[in-house]
Amino acid sequence: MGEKLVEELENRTVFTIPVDIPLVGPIEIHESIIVMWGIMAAIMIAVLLMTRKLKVVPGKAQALLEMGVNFVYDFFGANMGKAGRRYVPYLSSVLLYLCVSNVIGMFGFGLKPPTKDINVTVAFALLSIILIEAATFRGHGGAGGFFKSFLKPMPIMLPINIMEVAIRPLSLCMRLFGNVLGAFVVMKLIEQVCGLIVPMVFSMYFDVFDGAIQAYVFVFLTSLFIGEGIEEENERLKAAEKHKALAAK
Amino acid sequence: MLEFNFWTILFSIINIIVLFLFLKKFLFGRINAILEERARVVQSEIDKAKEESERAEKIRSDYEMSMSSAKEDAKKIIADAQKTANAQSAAITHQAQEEANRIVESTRKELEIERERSVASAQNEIVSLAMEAAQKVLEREMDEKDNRAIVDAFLAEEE
Repeated sequence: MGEKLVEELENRTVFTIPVDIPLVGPIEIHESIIVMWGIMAAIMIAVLLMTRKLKVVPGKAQALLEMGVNFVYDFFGANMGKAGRRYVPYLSSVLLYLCVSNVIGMFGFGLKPPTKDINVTVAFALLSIILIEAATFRGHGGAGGFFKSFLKPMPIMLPINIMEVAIRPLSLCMRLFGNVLGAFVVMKLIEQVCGLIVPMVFSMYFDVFDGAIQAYVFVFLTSLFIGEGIEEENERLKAAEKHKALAAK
Repeated sequence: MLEFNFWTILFSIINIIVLFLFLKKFLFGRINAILEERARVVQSEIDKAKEESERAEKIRSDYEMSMSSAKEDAKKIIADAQKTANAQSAAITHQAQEEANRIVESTRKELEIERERSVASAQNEIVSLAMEAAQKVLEREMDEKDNRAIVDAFLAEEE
């Protein structure tokens, strides 16, 4: 039982391209990457099919799609304000990707969620922290404001603010990885105890609910950090709008 | 389980970025384009409706203005006509009065002339009668009785 579980937990290398690149070795393609490619292909095909014939007067399917897009704009807008609109497509993509990745385990066929591979969550977290810092840089309008933002709200916070740059992606990455891995292990154990019907019930919680929640938490926190970074830009925008409205009067 | 693998991280990053670019172009790009298109259409419809109502308002005010000016014109025309009619009736009355006066005057004159003429002719008659009577008296010497008869005959003759 234990051996089988350990085997399941391993990130198998599906194939290796024997090109020896210095420092990192031959190109290895792991199982998680293959599953990611499959998810990407499915999402892309679905999106292409849904956005094929968009009309000014929408049909039912298009109305639903537009509702979804409006929903993510509203959802992220609550955290990031107007200046954060440009980051919504990326965060929505990550949300969709993570949602599908986390719940893919419930479909069977030996599919394992790619997010149970820590390398994948590291990639997500790295991109998140890059986006957060880039948005903060942009929000403060350059290097001066960006570095000054480390002294806020008071200079004594400097070490904590610097540590946050590393802690944020680490916590994002580990939270996602730990939850998905935990759910995966629990599900495998349940399956080994009883393979019929019972795993379906638990899968609803561990795969679907937990998976969706973790995807939500990941993008929610990322957007929250971005919103923190671009607070000043939002205030500038608001002030400019107010000024414009007054001038219009 | 916790082995870090450079290639998996790299490929994951590439995957995420590829999916993001794809969704940005084909999902958000298309949906936002259609939403903008819709907003544009709605705005243009609103503008058109506003323009229409403005035009209708203008036509209405024009119509009202022309109506009121027409009313004023009509009033003026009526007043003019009344004035003219009054003037004409006054003139006609005056003329008729004058005519009547003239006729009365001329009739009176005629009557006067007639009267004068008849007086003159009566005088003439009287004179000639008197002359005739005197002649007859002179011609025949007669008595009272005769005279009486003569006068009676004369008068009967005259009648």
